[in-house]
Amino acid sequence: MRTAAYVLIAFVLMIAESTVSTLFPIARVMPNLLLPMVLWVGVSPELSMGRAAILAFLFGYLLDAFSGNPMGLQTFLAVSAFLLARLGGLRLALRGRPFQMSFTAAVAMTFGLALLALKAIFEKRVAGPELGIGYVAGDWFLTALSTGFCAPIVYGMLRVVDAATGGRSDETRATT
Amino acid sequence: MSFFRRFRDAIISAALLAVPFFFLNANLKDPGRMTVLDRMILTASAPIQYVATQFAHGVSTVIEDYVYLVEVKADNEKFRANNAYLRAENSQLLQYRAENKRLRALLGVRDSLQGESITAQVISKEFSPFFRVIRVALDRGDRDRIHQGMPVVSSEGLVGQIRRTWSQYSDVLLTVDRTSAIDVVIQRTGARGMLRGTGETNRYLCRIEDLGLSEDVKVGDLIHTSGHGQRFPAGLLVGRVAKLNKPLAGLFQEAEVKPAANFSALEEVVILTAGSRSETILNSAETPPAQDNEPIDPDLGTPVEESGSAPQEP
Repeated sequence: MRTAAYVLIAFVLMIAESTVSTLFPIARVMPNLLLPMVLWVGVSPELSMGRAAILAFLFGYLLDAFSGNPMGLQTFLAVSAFLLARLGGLRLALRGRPFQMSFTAAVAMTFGLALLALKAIFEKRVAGPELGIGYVAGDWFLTALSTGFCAPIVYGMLRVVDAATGGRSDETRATT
Repeated sequence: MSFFRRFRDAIISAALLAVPFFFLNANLKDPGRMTVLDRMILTASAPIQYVATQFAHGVSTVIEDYVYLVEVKADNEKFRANNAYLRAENSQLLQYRAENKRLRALLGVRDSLQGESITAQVISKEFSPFFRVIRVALDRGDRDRIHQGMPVVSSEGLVGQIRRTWSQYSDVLLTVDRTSAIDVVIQRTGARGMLRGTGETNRYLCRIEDLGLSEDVKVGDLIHTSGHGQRFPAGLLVGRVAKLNKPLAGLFQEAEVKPAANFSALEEVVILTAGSRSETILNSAETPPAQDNEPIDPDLGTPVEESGSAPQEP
């Protein structure tokens, strides 16, 4: 139940993002709303490793499908971010909003850099240099900031889902 | 099996890392450099990617269409209001065009007339029970030096003459009024007669009486003012012969004349004020006595009809 709710929320967030980007010219500051979800499932003790990894995979796949990036690009990064978060073992919910925002922004910056690096490795021509390093850096920085800013909202939604689905059988799997 | 259970999470994580990595590698590799593995990955992933992409695209399209529908609705309302405004403006512009056309024609009439004239606006009309105009009021009067008896002309032809005036308004005696009498000439043959209004309430009609029986008159002949007398200048179109009444015996024939001016559509007219009427030499002895119900010319003390202008026998 919780897994399905997470996937549904991820899908709804992607739809909302694409709708808002149609109405308002905010492409440069469009946050990555699924990255907080990847981090959440990474640090969530109620979710098993396998199930959480599959969720991270799906989130990354949705990001690729909606962003128009080559398939596998953000999927790979999402699973990587999940593994790092799971290995780190941080409990975001206990750290308060400022930590959530700054931590998520830092992860988003790393995510963005890794994305550019992978694009540079795998793509013959990477879109960006013709726009100028400053423009690309500005995009990367602004996206990371907006992701951090929106992170508490996403975490709050997921907390509500957790509370609503609390006590179900899928919560009691062993975690690492 | 226990091996798998022990390392299940690690295997799953490794697989979930490897799969997108190989997907990415296969998708971005130069087609000429693809290996068998790359092709297998692409072949296996293509249907999945197609379904996922189509689903995502379909949902996005539905949402976007809804969003656009809201915008379209707003645009629609705006265009409806704009359309209504433009229709009203167009209607008004059509009126202006028609008015412009009328005024240009009237200007042409003024230019063709000698002497002084002044334009006037029709401010009111009185109708018969059969919706025929029986009385017309103009926005010119004493203040504009308008006097009784001055000819009134429209772009189509003679309307009549000023019946009476007061401050800034005046009444017009129409050519079809039963008290109106005008000396006219048939343009084609030159035959003269006296055009009198019939005063009928259901149609606009005048009659030329006292036309000699031998006069060559045909239906369709144009009727103009003769210019005799001190009333109307010569050459003003009055109407057209609509019907002839030729008795088998007698001296005179009668012609029914349909006026040229459309009294129902009168909006602007020209009043001939001075110097536009042709001079005639009148003998006061030839002036017929005033008849009942006929307006009196204050200047001449004669009836409003073209005095001394009885049709000449050929």
